[in-house]
Amino acid sequence: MQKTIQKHKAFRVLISVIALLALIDAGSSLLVNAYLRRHSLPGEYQKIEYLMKDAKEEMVIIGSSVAISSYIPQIIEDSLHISCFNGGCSSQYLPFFQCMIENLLRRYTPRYLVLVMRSEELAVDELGRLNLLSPFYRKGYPSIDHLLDKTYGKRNIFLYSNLYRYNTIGWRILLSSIRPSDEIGQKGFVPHNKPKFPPVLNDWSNYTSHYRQLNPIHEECFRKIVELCRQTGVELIVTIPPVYKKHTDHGRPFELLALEYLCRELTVPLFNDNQSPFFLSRPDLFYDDRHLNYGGAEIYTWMFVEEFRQWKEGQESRSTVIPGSMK
Amino acid sequence: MLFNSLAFLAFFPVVCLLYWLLPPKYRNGFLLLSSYYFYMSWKPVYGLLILFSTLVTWLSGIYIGQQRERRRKKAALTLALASNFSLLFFFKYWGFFGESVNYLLDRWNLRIQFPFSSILLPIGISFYTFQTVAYVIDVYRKEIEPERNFLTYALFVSFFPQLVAGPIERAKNLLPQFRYSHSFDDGQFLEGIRTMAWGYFMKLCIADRVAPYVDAVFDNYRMHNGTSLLLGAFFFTFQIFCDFGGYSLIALGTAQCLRFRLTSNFERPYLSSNVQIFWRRWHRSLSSWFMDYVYIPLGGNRCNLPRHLLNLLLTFAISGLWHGANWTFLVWGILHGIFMMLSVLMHKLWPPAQSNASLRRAANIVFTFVLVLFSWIFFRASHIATAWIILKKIFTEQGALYKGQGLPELLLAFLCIGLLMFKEIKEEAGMNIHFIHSKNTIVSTISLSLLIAFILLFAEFSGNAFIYFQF
Repeated sequence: MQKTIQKHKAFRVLISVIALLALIDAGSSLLVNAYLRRHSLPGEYQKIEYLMKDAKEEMVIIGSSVAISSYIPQIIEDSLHISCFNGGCSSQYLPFFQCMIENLLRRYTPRYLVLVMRSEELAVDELGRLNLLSPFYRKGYPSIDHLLDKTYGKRNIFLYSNLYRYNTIGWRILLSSIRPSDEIGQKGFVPHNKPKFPPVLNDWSNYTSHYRQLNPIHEECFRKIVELCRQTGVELIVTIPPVYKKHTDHGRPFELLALEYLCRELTVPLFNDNQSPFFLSRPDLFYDDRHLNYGGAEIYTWMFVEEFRQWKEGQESRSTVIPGSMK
Repeated sequence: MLFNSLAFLAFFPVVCLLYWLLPPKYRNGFLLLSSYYFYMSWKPVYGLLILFSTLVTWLSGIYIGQQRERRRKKAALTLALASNFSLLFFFKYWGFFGESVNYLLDRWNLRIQFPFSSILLPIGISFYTFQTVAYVIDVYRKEIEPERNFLTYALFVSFFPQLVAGPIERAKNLLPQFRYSHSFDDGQFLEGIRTMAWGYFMKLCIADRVAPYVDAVFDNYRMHNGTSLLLGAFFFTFQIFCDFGGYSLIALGTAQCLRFRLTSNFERPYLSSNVQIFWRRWHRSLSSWFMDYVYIPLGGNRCNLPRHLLNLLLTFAISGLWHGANWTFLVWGILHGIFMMLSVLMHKLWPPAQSNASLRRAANIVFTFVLVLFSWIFFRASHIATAWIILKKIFTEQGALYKGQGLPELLLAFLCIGLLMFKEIKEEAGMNIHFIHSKNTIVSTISLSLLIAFILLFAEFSGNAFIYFQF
């Protein structure tokens, strides 16, 4: 008898834990939703939400942290007289970009879409921090649902838990109430401070790419993005900002050649400044080996504007691959 | 199958439920099947390796137990040790050995190449090899009777909670537990669940949360200043503890749900007041293995001082190499050997003073923590030269802190580390405040629910493997 009661006790405790968890889960959802009625989500979530709900700029820049720190929309707006938003999101790759673009194009059609890529973008193994999309799961964004279902597989049962979906959001809300971080204040551009000790060029003189094949997932995403832009009449421009790494293989590693080839095949303009000699000689313009600091971003944005103008002027007669104009 | 995978989340409740529903006489057989399934889910062929090791040591144990002639016993022991260590050497050290030989041949301008190729290391081979070797030695030393039931012995070797990363169990502790049938105990079961929950907190909220920062700074150390590298080393100190400590707690909790008691591997190691105490608290099952089967046979401390110090150095050097086939692990082991030697010498020259104990103890804890932190740099770095550069940068290049995935992530990591240390300090001080382990069911239930909610809300669900799996 006592044993039966004991067994019931273990059972009771487990049921109580599950019930309490369900309660906390529902409570957290209520709290977050109440917060969202008055505020937008903090940090990078704010940017994603803006892109999906409010963005209406003529030029939208999509990319990773490289995009965030390389393009100053204000300079682009002032010089090209078009509205611009920098929609870069840290540690993201092509599956995320495709998802963002799909959502964007469902709502409105920007004139230009700038896809900011790293030289190795098509070859990397990672899929990126897709958990950033989980708060938007089953909230009326089919491309997000599709992407998360595809990548999470059976793990997507966790997405039914609000606690899991809002992972770290509560913490970010708390911190942003103490020290507000406005990700879209400068139209999505977030400058990196200049480091006290800039990198030394010699360190990178022997940098050799180890990639020998493309990641089919990323290649498919890239093709899909091109197709989407074509279908909706958006002019897609692919850019590769400068890095502070001197590639061997004559500065044209396999993955970069493959990207150039793919752009030619799909007739997409590529502004390739990856190995810009100007930037390779100016470590003071970098925050680290792949992110520009504020000064670097200013110069590079002007460079981009110039390249963009050249491309627009000779759009019909020029080659589709445009090497960096200030090389 | 990883403890932090969805597969384990399904595997464990099913095994637990069936185990308790089955009649006692079928339970060991069922656990053995489950354990082999658990292990073979990585690579089925490796099941043969563990089976081979089990067979060799089981037969050797029985043979040694039957023989009266010392010479024959020794021959059987040698055969068992040689076959097990050969497998370990082949899978773990062959590539490293070949590379090192080729490097030397190249340095001496000899145009000969030692043929070798890198082989994928079977998960857990170092752990179960040490466990089976300890069993044969114990039988040889007549500390235990040989196990005659193959099924029981095979389960002792392959018991899934501790199979891939320990604790390295001794036969005298674990084997008898398979010989009698257990009855379900709800207290033990719930305690097991609570222990597992805390293990998951350590792994998912601390180890996996700091991992991206640690990887970023250590893998691109040239691009980071000393401040960021120091924070990287600090985070790695907690990453390795929470990764391995978390794994050990999940293993302990899993076994406890099935009413088995495993050795606790960690006991507040970062609150040790000297390196000797640290090694009594860090990876205790391995430390005691080295103590019993390497340090004491070498002579231990029952010899003159220089020999005692040499024994310490040798034991730690071997322990370093056990962790991995790389010079960095050897240096890490030697470094700890030197710390131990210095600690022994200091205790002999200046016996610890009793006055102002708490302040002195706090200072000693901080000093020991710093020593351990710096030694982890060698453990984490890919090469010895890399570790030197990192150390040099820490002391010479200060600057703005690299924030990795952002300030909120860094602050969250500090919050979780703070929670862990609060629990550790509370236990070290013997404070009688309990939350998840409270005797009051309401308090423990609410605490457990809150802990699981905290994990869901603040964990990093990256699905990272456990660091010690590679050893």
